[in-house]
This record gives sequence, structure tokens and C-alpha cells, in this order.
Amino acid sequence: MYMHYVISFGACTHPHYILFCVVKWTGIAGAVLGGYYFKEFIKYIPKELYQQHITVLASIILMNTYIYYMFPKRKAAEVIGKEGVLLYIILFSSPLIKLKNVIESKSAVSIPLSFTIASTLNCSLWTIVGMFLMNDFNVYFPAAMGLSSALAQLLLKGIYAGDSVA
Amino acid sequence: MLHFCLVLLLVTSPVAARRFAVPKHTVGVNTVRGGDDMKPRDKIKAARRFDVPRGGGDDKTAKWLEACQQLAPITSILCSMAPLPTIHEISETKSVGGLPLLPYSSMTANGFIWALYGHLVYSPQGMFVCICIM
Repeated sequence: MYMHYVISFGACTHPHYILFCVVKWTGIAGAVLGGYYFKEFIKYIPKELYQQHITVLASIILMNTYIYYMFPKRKAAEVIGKEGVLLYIILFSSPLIKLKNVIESKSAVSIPLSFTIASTLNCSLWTIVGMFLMNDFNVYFPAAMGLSSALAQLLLKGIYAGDSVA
Repeated sequence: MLHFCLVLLLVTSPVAARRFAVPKHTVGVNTVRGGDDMKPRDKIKAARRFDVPRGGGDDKTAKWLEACQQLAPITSILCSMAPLPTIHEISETKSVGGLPLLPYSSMTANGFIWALYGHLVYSPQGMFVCICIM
């Protein structure tokens, strides 16, 4: 038990200590904020609309907790990392559907400019950090995918911004 | 005796960490993923990866990468805070106005998965293994 604190204390002095905490703490911040939005959202919709979401969410949490405790550490990291990548693919597929609608309607009103710029910045930073500092496929691949999606949105915003029909 | 050892270790650990720390100009950092069950051959490979600067290796690049490393979590949290005005509006009007719930539930699941992954891969213990390998 003492060794744990000693190791943690020693690790805190490492120049790249922040790097080793960012993934965990950004994850925790995302989960807490997402949980808050979810809680606020379900107050105003009927129960049958969110029941399925709660079931899926609970099963994801339970399944990953099981993997975390029961699998060997390396295997667990591999499985959970790939799961994260898969979830990112699902997350980024929804803006792609929106892109199709934008091209069809030739109107870029549905693309929020400020969020797209923020997303471009965020994804490019994570691509750089994941590629050059962490050297971790599970970090830089989803970030690069998000970056390409955000850039495509920016490009469409630039093309259709002038002649958008509200 | 144990307490004496503990105090000694606490005092010497920053010195040890500095002794084994990655030099400022070295930017090729990697973690030993789940280090405890790693083969010796893989450990050597991981340690070598520490020495290879992938971003050029000069001071300017290192500083730039360090800035990216510090900015990345901030922008990430700011992006997570983007739906706050929408949620505030929903609370005020007491209506979701046809908005989907999926982004929020997937955001929660995603955050949970990354928190677990970060805890597994980028924990101080895993990093200590890296320091020892070097």
C-alpha cells in the first residue's frame, strides 16, 4: 500500500506527468457532463423514449467494469481502447449523414460554425498528442477521423455559406 | 524501520525521477501498456521507443508539442461543454423540441470508456514501469 503512494509521488515529478492524466480526466469530465445533459434531457421526454438508452448505457458500463476487473491489464486496455474507437466511429457517422443533407439541400445553415472550429482545433491537438507524444493508435485514429470530418464540414460551410437558404 | 524507509523513499523519489526522467528535448514518449505482464523483448522495444524522437527532436518542436499536450484537455472539456446552452434552453422551455437523446447518451458512454482506458494505460504505475525500464 505504501509503495502505491511512493510510486505516485515519484511519478508526479516526471516531466510528462500531465500527459499520463489527460486521457483519464478528460474522460471523467466527458462522462460527468454527458450524464448531466442526459439527466436534464430525460426530464422532458416520455419514459418509453429513454428506457432503451438507459439499458444500453448500463450494459456498456457493466460490461466495461467487468472487463476492467476480470481481464489481464494489457488485454483489458486493448479491448476497451478498441471499443472507444468503435464508439467514436458511431459518433462521427452522424455528422456525415448531416453532410449528405447539406450537399443535397445546398444549404450549410445546419452546420454550427463555432462548434466546428472548436472541434477542428480539439481533434488536431489530439491527433498531434496521440501521434507524437503518446504513440497510441487508440488515441490518434479517432482524433484524425474527427479532424477529417470537421474539415469536411468547414469546407462545406465555406462552399454553401454564401447561397444558404434558411 | 518501515516508516524510515518510506520517508527515505519519498525524499529520494523526486531525485530518482529526475535521474531517470525523459530529457526535455526528447519527445518520443510511449507508455508500457499494462506493463506488468509484458515480455522482456517488448519492454526493450518500448524503452527504445522512448529514445526515438518522432517529432524532429529539437527544442522548438518539444516546446510546441508540450503546448499541444497542455491545450488538448482544455479544448476537449470546452467541446464537451458545447451543449450547455441547449440544455439550459431545454430547462427553460421545458421541451426538447424534437432533439435526439443519442448524442448525450453516447457522450456519457464514451467518457466512461476513455476514463477506464486512461486509468488502465496512462496511470502513474504504468509510467513508473517506463521510468524503471529506461
